[in-house]
Amino acid sequence: MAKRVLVTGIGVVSAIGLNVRETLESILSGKSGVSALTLLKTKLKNFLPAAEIKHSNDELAAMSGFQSCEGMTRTTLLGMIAAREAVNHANLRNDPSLNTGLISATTVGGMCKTELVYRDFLTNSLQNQYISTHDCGESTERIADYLGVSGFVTTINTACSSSANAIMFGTRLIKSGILDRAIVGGTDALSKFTLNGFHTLMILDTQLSRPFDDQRAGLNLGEGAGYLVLESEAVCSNPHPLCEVKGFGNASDAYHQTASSENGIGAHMAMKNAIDAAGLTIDDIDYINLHGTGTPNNDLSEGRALESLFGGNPPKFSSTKPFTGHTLGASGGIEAVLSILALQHQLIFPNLNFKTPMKELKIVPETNLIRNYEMRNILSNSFGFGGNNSALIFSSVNDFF
Amino acid sequence: MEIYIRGIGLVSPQPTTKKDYFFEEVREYSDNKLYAVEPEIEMYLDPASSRRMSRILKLGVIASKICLVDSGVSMPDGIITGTGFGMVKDTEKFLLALLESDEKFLTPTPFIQSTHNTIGAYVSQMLKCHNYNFTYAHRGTSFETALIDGCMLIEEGNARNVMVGGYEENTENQIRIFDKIGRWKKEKISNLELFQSDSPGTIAGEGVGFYMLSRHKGETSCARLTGVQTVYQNLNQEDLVRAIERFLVRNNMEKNSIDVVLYGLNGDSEGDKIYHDLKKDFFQGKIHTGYKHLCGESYSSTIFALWVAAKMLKTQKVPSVIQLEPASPQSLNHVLIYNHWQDRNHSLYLVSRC
Repeated sequence: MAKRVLVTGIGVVSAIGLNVRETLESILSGKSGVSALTLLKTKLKNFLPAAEIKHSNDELAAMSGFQSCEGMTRTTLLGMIAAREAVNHANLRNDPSLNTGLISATTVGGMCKTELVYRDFLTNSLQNQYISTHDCGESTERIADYLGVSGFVTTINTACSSSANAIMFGTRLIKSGILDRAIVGGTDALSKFTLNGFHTLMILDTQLSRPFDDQRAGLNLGEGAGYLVLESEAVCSNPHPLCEVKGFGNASDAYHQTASSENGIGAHMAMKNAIDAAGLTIDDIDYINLHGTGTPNNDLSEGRALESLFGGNPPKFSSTKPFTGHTLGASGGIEAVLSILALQHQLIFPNLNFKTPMKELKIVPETNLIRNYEMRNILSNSFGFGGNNSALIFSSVNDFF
Repeated sequence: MEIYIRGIGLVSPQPTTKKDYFFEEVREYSDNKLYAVEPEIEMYLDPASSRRMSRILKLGVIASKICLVDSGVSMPDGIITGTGFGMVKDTEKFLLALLESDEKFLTPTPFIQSTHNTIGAYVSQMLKCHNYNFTYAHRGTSFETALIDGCMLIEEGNARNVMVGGYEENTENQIRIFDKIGRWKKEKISNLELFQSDSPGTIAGEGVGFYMLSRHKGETSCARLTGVQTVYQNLNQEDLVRAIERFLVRNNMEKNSIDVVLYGLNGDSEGDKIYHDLKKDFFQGKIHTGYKHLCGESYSSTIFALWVAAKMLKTQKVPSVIQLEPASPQSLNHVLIYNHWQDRNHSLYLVSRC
C-alpha cells in the first residue's frame, strides 16, 4: 500500500449552497440551511425544521442541462450537480488507458419519488417509469452515464456512514491497483419516509439542532450530495492536489440497530483504526469534524469515544450538521468536502447552537470560526444505523512537480 | 488471487440448507415465483429474539449461522453483504403505513429494519463482532462488489476470514409491480422448463447466502475463488469476449483450462442471446450449465451460482438438472460464471478446485 491517494476535486450541494464557493461563503457568514420545510409535502412540516434545498426538481435538472426532471429522482439530480462539480474541479482528462470508477452512496435511493407514486405502482400504470428508479443503484448509474464513467460502478448503503465508506472503498481500490481514479461520495434527498422514520424514533429536534449541548434534543434532517475525485499519485497529473486520503477506519459498534453504545466503542475503534492506518498518532490530528448529529445518544457516545481516545485535551472539534442538517447517505461526502475546505483554508468551523457543556463530558466543541489555524491532518467521523462507524483522515500534501 | 471458500450457508428456493445436498431432489414451481425454502426457524433462533424480525432477516441470520458452523470460524474479521433491493417487506410495511395513516401512528420497527445493512449489522451484534462491516447496494452486481471487497481485505493483510453474503427478498407487491414493466413471463411456466421457453421475461427468485472467504485452506474448504469482476456497460458480444479475455489474463487463466461455464440464462428471449452466442462460439466445447431455473432471477442470483460452482468442484459432479447439453465430465478444475442484469451489470467469476 505504498501509493498515495490524492484528492484533486470536490463538489457539494446542500441547503447552504449549490456549489463549493456558496457553501464556504455560508459557513464563513455563519448562515445555517435549517429552516421550515416548504417543498417536501409532509404533515410534519409545521413543527419539524430541516435543511431543504430551496429549488424544485425542474430547477435542479436545468442546472445539469436537462429540460425537465422527467424520469429522474431528486437523489439523482443532487448527485449529478455535486459529482459534475468535483469532476470539473479536478479537470479529469479523458484517458481510456486509466481505470476510472464511480462509487456512490445513498440510503433511500429513489424513495423521494416512490413515496409519491407508490399507489400508482399498485393500482394503475401512470407512473411506471419510476418503478426502476427506486433502488439505490439507479442514481449511481444515472450519475455514471452523465459523467461518462463505465466499468467499475457501484453503490454503498450502510445508512448514515454510507458516503464515508464510499470514500474509503475508493481509496482502497486505488491502493490495491484495481482503479487509477475514482469519483466517490454520496447523495440523498429529503423524503417523507425518512422524516417519518426518524420522527417515530423520536430523534428529531423541533428546534435547531444543538450538537454536544447539554440541552440537545435531536437532529434536523437535510438533503444534498458531496463528491471527491481521488487519483493515484502514480497517474495524477494535477500539480495542485487538494490533500491526501491518509487514513480510514471502519468498525462495528455491535450494540444495537439504531442506538450507539454508551461507551462509544465502535466510534473509538473507527477513529483509532484510521489514525493507525495513516501511520499517525493522536497528537497529529489537528481538527475533528464530528458526526455530531445532536441526538442525546450519538453525542454522548461520540463524546465518550473522543475522551477515551484523545483524553481530556483533544484537538479542536465541531459538528457542521447545524449548517447542513443531517444529510444521511450524503453526510460523509459533504463533510469530507467541508473538512478539505477547512484544511485548504486553514479554518476551524464553528459548532452552531452550542451553549451548555454536557454534564457527562469534560470536553466542549469549538463555537467560533477560527482563521489561520495551522492544520495538516483532519479527522472526519460518520456513524450509521446498525452501529456502522467510519472515520477518514484528510492530510495536506505539498504541490507536485 | 488465492482465496478459499471455507464455508457456505445458503437459503434458496431449493433445500440448500440440507447438509451435502446437491440437487438429489429439486423443487418445482409453476407460478413464475420462487420463494426460499424455509428451514426450521426454531432450530436456529429463539422465538423471543426473532419475534420482531422480518422473514428475510430471519433467513439471513440463519444463513450466517450455517456458514459460521460450516466454516468453523467463530469471529470473522469482516462481515460484508450485498443486496440490490434491500429489505423489501419492511420498506413496504413502513411506506404503506405512512401512506394509509397520512403520516400518523407509525411504529419504528419496520423503518429501523428497512435499512439495507440490517442483516450485516444484526449478525455483527449477534457475534459481538466489532470488525469491518460494509453493505453494497448496486443492482445486479451488489454481491460481486461485496466479494471484491472481501478479497481485498484479505489481500491487504488485515483479515484472515471474511464473511461475505448477499440477499434479495420477494414480496407479492414487489412481484406485481415488476410485472408492469415486463420483467416476468406472461404465461405461467414450470421453473424446470425455463430454458425451453422462448418468450420475453423471466421468473422471480429470492434467497440469502453467506460465504466464508479465507486466506488459508482448511479442512472445510470446498473451492477457491480465483477471480471476480464486475463491468457496468452495455456490451455486445465482441466487447464481452474482450472483457472475458482480459479477465482471464488478469487471473492467469488459460481458456483451455476452464472445464465448466455456468451461465446466468434466465429464459428471457432477448437477454439470453448473449449467453447462447458465447456458448456457441467462445466457449465451444466446454460443459455448459445454467442455474436460474432452480433459484429464479433476482439482483443477487449469483449467491446461488457460486454455491453451484463450489459444489461442482467439491463433488466433481455436474448434476444433469443443471446441464444445458448432455455432458460426461472427467475431472473438474475450473468453473467460470458469467451473469448479466439487463445487459448493464455484468459479472464474471473464476472458481477453482481446492
